[in-house]
Amino acid sequence: MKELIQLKVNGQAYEVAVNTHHTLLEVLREELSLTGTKESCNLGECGSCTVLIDGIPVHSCLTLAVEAQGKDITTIEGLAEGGRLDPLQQSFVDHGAVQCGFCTPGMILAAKGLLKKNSSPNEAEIRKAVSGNLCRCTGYVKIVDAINAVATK
Amino acid sequence: MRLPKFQYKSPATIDEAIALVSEAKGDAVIIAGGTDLLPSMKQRRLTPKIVVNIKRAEDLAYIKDGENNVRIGALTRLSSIEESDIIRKKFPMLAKAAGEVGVPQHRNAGTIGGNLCLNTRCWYYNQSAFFRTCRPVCYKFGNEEDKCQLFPTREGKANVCYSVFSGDTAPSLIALKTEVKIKGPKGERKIPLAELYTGDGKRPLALGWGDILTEVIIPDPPAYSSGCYLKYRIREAIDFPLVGVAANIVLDSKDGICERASVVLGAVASRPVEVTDAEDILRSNKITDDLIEEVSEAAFKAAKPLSNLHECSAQYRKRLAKIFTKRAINSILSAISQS
Repeated sequence: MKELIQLKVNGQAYEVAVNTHHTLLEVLREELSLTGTKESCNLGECGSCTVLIDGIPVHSCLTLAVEAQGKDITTIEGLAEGGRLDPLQQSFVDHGAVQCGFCTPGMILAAKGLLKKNSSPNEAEIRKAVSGNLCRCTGYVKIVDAINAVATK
Repeated sequence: MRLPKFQYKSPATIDEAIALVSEAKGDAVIIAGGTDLLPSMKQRRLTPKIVVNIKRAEDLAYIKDGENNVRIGALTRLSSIEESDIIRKKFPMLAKAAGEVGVPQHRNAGTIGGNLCLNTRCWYYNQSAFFRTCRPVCYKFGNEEDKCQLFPTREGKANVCYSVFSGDTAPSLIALKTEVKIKGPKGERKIPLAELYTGDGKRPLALGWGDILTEVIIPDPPAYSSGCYLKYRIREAIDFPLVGVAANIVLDSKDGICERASVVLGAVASRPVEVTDAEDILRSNKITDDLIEEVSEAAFKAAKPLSNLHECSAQYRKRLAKIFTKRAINSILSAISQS
């Protein structure tokens, strides 16, 4: 069954006919071609599909697309402005926190969610904020350093 | 992995939601945060025809500090409870328990109502559709005649499902003597939270078709009281508890006589387990090391966990229940004496 819904992604309004059983992740990637949001476990265990809904990090694989209507959705594509990387993205580059890069969008959005709430978190708070994001290159130290650098700036 | 197809309904009132679910009987499920339901649907453990969203129906996301209680709406996110000043001040154990559910993304979506109505789990039932293609169907997944695959039922005996209730917030809330409000086709009722759980792994909740948990009511803590929730898990995030111990103690004065005590264990049975002996042992006594030892021994006996990991046998989990009970009571006593 399809339903016509309005989605606001990265400040842009979309009108999409979605299957009601499709998740926000599927709609972002398949209907809107926003493939920056990654699909991995699809069960809410790995965090790679993390997006911000109204500024709060959630699993897009566990969010029905129809339930994201009227909400403000931010994906990794929405962070850079006018070709300039977001400070968090730049920090990930500078610290070598991007290895294979697959977990990076989820990591950055989970960190973004934290920094929106608390602009100067300590290391424990940073680790807690990205505790739902797995990095199989296991580059956690550099990831935490990268977030820490933005937090204390 | 796609979700199975279903009809999606988002009624405007809670009564409409109740009507929808009670008419559809077993064909409809309620979705709140979706963090427990959707993975189960993706793995085809649940394939409802209708999914009813209750988030639009009524504003059930609130934490209200009343005269002698705190009322929490069932749709309040776990992260809101974790961060709420009211909860942190009055029921720090609940804030801690809510903050230890899953990972931040789960807590930002998952609700207190959903955490209390969590489905029970076991390592056979919580597998993929693919796993099931080459194994017998278990009692929880299948029908009355299918057998439990962990402990196959003997001939002539009634089936039993041993799946485990792994919610983090329920033990703390039961220790705090919480009541829950349930709205259903027959109207509204209020029951002690402990009575929400049947202890039957196949049907863990005492809810009829169309019954919806709408509110959690926690009585204010008395003057010299404190609580503590301790959770054991392999990793510091995402894991369900292997053992959870919630304790709450009320004294008549600082370092005084115990007026009330409750110890509730999580993840050691198909329901949160109240260690009923704890109250009998501690009440009207000054709490000593010997009595704490006695209570923790009672917790050891009350815990009947499953072995479900190589590193974590049932015996080990029973011993953890004992040690955590001791730790919890000691930390409560020092919290009360420092208050």
